[in-house]
Amino acid sequence: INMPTIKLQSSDEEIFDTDIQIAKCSGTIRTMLEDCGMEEDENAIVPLPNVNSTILRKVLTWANYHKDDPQPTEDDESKEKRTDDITSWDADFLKVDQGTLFELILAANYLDIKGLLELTCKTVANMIKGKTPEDIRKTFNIKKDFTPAEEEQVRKENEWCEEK
Amino acid sequence: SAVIVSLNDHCLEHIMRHLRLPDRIRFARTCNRIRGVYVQASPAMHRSMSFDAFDGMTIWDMRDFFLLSGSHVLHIEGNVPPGRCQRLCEYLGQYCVNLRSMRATASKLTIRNMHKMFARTHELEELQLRACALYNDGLLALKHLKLLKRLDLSDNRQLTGLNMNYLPASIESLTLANCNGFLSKYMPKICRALPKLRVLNMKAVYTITTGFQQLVSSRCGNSIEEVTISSNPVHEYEHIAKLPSIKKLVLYSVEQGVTLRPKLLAWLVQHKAQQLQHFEARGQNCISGEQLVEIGKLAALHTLVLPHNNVIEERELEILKLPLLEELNLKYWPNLTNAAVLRLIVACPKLQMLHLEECTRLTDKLLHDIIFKLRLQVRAKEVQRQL
Repeated sequence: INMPTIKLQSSDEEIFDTDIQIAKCSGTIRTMLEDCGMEEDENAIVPLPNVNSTILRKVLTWANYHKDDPQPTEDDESKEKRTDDITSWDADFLKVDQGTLFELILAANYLDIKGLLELTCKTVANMIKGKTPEDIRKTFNIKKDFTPAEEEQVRKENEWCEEK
Repeated sequence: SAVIVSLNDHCLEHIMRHLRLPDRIRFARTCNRIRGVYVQASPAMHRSMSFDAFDGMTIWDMRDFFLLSGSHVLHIEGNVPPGRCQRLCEYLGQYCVNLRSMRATASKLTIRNMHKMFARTHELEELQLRACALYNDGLLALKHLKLLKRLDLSDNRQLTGLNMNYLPASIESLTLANCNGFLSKYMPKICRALPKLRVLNMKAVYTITTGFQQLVSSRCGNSIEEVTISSNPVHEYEHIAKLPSIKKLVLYSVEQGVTLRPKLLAWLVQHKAQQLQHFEARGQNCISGEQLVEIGKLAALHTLVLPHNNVIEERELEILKLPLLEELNLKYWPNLTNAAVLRLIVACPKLQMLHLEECTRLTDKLLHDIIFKLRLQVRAKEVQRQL
């Protein structure tokens, strides 16, 4: 049986013929389809100006693998979330450079794909865990932008704090 | 420059939510941008905190947390980690100025730490300090909490009642369960100092002795509506019946087969038949057949809870007619029959909730009979039953 498909267009104008069911794991696309009544129209093209073809291809690979997953439930905002429950497929899927990882986060956020956003953020969280601020800066190449005066202040307070 | 800062605030916040508290603080310390996101997300992330989150945190990390986020913490609960107790008390008292509720246990809260912990928590409405090895003098640290409504000091055996008259007058509910160092001579003084006290829970306090008699004879405790105690047959707790506002009474009996003091029910019938709404006596056979007849005279009862009984006979139950009763609990009545339950449903026209778990003689037929009867009466009732 032929699944109904939809055409997604990446920012670099590549067209992806995609099963509607898979495209709909994105809240953003779901809303677009429903609001514009595009579901009936075989030739309609959904433009995604914030996602390039490399990232969109990865996102669709992920969505295809997870198409039968149950919808993630909304959980308590104030609770700290688990990060030790990443499956090996997902872990392999995310063996990518930092640039790609962050682009995937932005795409998951823009496309409103909760499962993928969770997964990618978890992966970054695991890179931060247990590190000192200096180690975190090194890991992500973050520039320290506190003024020397602020630095000194922090250092002094810290000394006072640990001694007492 | 770093790609991570190319993420928008929402995504950075999402990453932060996946970090444990110390990692979160260190992440926030890396640069101004990330610190800004932390500050923005903190009110939502740190509304409710657990003391466990501070276990194993360095003092610097802890200090940073309270400095940046202390004012956003509205609720905190859990076990105060002993290794960080002093600093936690200090920072909490200094920075958690908007704290509404605290539920804590601690291996020990010294007098000094008590004063630190509540130094600036002026917004506190609910406080639970269970099993914190509190001293009488530690209670003085709560004096200035002018909004405090509910205070639970259960399981602090050094407390005698001394200094409880310095507790804030705003208190409406006081729980002293299992505080067995308590001396009844302080009861009038405490109640005089707490004019808004509505709920008093002294479960498992076995030193009440003549406490309620003293209350009544010194005309204190006039606002008390709900009392919970563990009944001790040698204590004169029947004086509870003379508290002017009493509406709810919960009695726990430890010894099997020891019935409540006879005067209690006699006085309740005499003084409070039109006022008492909730009567609850928990303990194997703590109510005798004659006493049940007395209970039947408490016409204002909405709730009656009398689990665990095998001495009350069917004809004594037959007399029970309570026009306002909405909830009845007769769990663990092995002799209770279908016919008796049906009679009760007819005799108590407002009954909505029946708890009959573990009444082994009841059968499924009862449910059909109840439904049949109710259809006849065309009344909407909710019947809750497990067998």
